Amino acid sequence: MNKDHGDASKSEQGRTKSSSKKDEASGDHEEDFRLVALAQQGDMSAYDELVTRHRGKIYAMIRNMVKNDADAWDLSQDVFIKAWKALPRFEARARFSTWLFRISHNVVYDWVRKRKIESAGELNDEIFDRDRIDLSARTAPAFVESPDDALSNSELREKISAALETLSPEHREAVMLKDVQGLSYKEIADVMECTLGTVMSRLFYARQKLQNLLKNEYESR
Amino acid sequence: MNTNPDEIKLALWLDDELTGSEFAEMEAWAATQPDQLKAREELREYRSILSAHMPASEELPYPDFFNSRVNQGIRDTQVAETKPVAPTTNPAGSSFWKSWLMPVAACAGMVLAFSIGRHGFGESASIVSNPPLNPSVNPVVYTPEEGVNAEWYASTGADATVIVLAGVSAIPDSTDFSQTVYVPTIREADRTATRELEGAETIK
Repeated sequence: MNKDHGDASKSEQGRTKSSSKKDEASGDHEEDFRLVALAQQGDMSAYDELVTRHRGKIYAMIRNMVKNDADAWDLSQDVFIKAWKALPRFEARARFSTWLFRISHNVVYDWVRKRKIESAGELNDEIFDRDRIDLSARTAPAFVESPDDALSNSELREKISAALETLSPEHREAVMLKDVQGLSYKEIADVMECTLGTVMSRLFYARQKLQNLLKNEYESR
Repeated sequence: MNTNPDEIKLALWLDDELTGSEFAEMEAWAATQPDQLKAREELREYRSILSAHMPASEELPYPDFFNSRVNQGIRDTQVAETKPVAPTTNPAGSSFWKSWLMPVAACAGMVLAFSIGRHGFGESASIVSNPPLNPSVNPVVYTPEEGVNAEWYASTGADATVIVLAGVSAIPDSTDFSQTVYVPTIREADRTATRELEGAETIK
């Protein structure tokens, strides 16, 4: 009896957390749509505001995919330039952030394809590996360590990052979109241009691997 | 009767994506499935660890510069799109131009250049710079310091481009600029002075 009550209360807690997040997010989406409508009429300051609102998410996502700060900075810039060009075609059926993630997906995979052609190497996933990336490939400011980088030095984050790096790019992207960015299965399928079943299977295997790699962390909590 | 949910519904329930009657239905089913309840709890824990240590958003380095680069990129693409496309010519017209008009035009050009070289520009003539490709496009002056606003204008009176920085803290009067910049001596600035001095020494 007590166990049932405990389970029900846990279930409620989990749902309350996610629903309050959703309420908070829905206001953000309304503001996004308002700014998008202005930007579609050519209002550059509205678009600038959209860039400011979403640049952090896009940068974090791309950085975790390409494993290089300077390239992530450049590619994030490309995403927003491409998004501006495609803005007249944006319809409010999807969230603006989801739409940006879809553009990011295309920009990152185009970049990877281009680099594979340039390097004329094997068509494998090692292009995502930090050590294989030519740091002088494009112009970008030299970076100093930011407070965020200091945070990244935390032991657990390093462990998670290392565990994520063992995943294939598709699996890593699915995990990032679902468990870090909080997208729904349907949204991930839209972003990655695949079926709901593919998303579920990718997430299942990726999570299983991650959960095994981070098993000690669970047990210590 | 098989009351087990399909895989999609189960995955959505495990990830807290179900709502309304579907959620209630799954909860009723899961009440007799301790393994599934445990799996959901583990998934929630895993998600909370991941989201706590992998931020969904990270402020990128030089955020203001990032925005200005995006704006610049957009302007560049707009300018590229508004550039006039070179008219296409038919092959027959092209060969006529090459055989007859081109030599004539070249001669006329040479005569004009010779004439300008001899007489120079008249008083009424003025150097006309190329008009901007897109007059509505203004360059953006990026200021790395936060809170500083930069504007620029072309001062015809001073024949200079003036950059106005609003928000920069005042430079104290006591600042000795000679300590911060390299000021060449008269001798270093004027090479002829060296030659004159050398000449004077030779006369002696």
